[in-house]
Amino acid sequence: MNIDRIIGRFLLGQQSQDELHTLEEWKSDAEENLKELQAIQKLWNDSQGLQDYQDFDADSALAKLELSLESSSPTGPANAKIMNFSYVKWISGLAACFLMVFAGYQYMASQETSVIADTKNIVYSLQDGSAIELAEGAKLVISDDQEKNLELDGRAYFEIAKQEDTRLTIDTRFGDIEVIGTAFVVEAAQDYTSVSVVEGTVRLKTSNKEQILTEGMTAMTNGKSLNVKRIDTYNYKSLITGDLQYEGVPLYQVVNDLNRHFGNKLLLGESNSKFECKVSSVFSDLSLEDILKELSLTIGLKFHKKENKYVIDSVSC
Amino acid sequence: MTYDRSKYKNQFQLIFKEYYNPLCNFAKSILKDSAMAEDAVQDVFTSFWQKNNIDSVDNPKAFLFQSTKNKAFEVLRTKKRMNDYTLSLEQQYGNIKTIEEVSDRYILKEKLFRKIAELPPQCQKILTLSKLNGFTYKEIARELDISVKTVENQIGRGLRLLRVKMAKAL
Repeated sequence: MNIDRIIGRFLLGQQSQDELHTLEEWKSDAEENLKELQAIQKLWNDSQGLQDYQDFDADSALAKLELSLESSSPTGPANAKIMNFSYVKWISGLAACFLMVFAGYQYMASQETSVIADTKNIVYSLQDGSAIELAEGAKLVISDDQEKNLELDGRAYFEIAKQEDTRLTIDTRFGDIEVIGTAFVVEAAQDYTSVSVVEGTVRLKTSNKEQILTEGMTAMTNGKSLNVKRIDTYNYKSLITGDLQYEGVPLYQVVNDLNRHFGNKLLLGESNSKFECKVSSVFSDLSLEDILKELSLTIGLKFHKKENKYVIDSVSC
Repeated sequence: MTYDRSKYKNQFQLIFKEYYNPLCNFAKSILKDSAMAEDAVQDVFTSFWQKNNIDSVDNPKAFLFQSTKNKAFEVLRTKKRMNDYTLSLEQQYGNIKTIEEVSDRYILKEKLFRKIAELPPQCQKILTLSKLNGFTYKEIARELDISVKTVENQIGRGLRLLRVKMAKAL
């Protein structure tokens, strides 16, 4: 008997005696099942008040409000000039706070600054408004006062403000990246460097090759060879936004994204399972374990934890 | 000074984005008009901006909901739309429900609304028709040209998924 359907009928009080019996058995199978049913009943009741709930356009309303304040308000806070704030800029504003709390922040020399994301992702902002989100374990060294020469070890997402005079460069073990603009992910690992461009253009230089990368291109190099391919970049922003969105994407691709997002914590098991199962879902700021729990409900994914990693055992979509 | 202005603006924008939608829906429940609700909430946020110091507001959520309620009833009075129904509504909001209760209810609605939108397409469609449009299972089945059995199944599945998403959001 399908428990989802029985729950669906139970909520309307339309379950048969047999179904009620099955539901009672399911409830008594595990305390978690009882808790789940209680939570579902609460959700069902809470959502009764959603009728006619509307999605108003907050972004347009905010833009309209800012315009009206700009044109009419000498009484705004400290007569502040209203500017169009991009996502990057407010991240920049928060960056200092993040750093105080989470980063190992130290001056290595008079002109060199190191930023280390010790235990979790941190956001660092440059003087020009550029924002850099360092993934857990990554280290960024800024080697000049102008903040134009960076060195990266680990993975980071860059949203770089328009470069007026001197272009920003990021040095890694296997290649240097010259930034023409604007948003991209760099992974400087022990045995390779990869660059994936979400918006704009960057130039990757290795000891013997040079490659211009534009939006939707990713390049990987080990210092000797350089491979370039096209990618779907939407979820590359997840490091900043926390959102991962899928519409009919095969599971193995989702696993790649999750590994990029959470730092290689997910393994595909050895069973001959359906790892090409299609996933359609939105994960907003969920932990890896919560995402796996959700996938277990949608595509019957089974997993177990092994040390600090998760192994996908099977899928039954 | 520059930092303070920027910090103030950041704070304001975060608060605006968090509360704009639930406040508009709250205002709409009183005004019964979406455009009037949006105007009222714009006025509330304009006043909020002009307070100069968000930190001086102890509880921005309560402040914004209380201001929106006051504004909405002010609009009704100005437009002479105050009738027996709205008078009793004002009394109800004034006497029975504290603004904390009202705001918590709308914040919960907002989270549910957003999380339903994150469900897989079929679940999302069915839960939206059920909860936002008030369709019965039969009506949903007819609308989507699927069986009632599928609707029942998807409702159960959708709510189980929603529970996982809401557990994280609350």
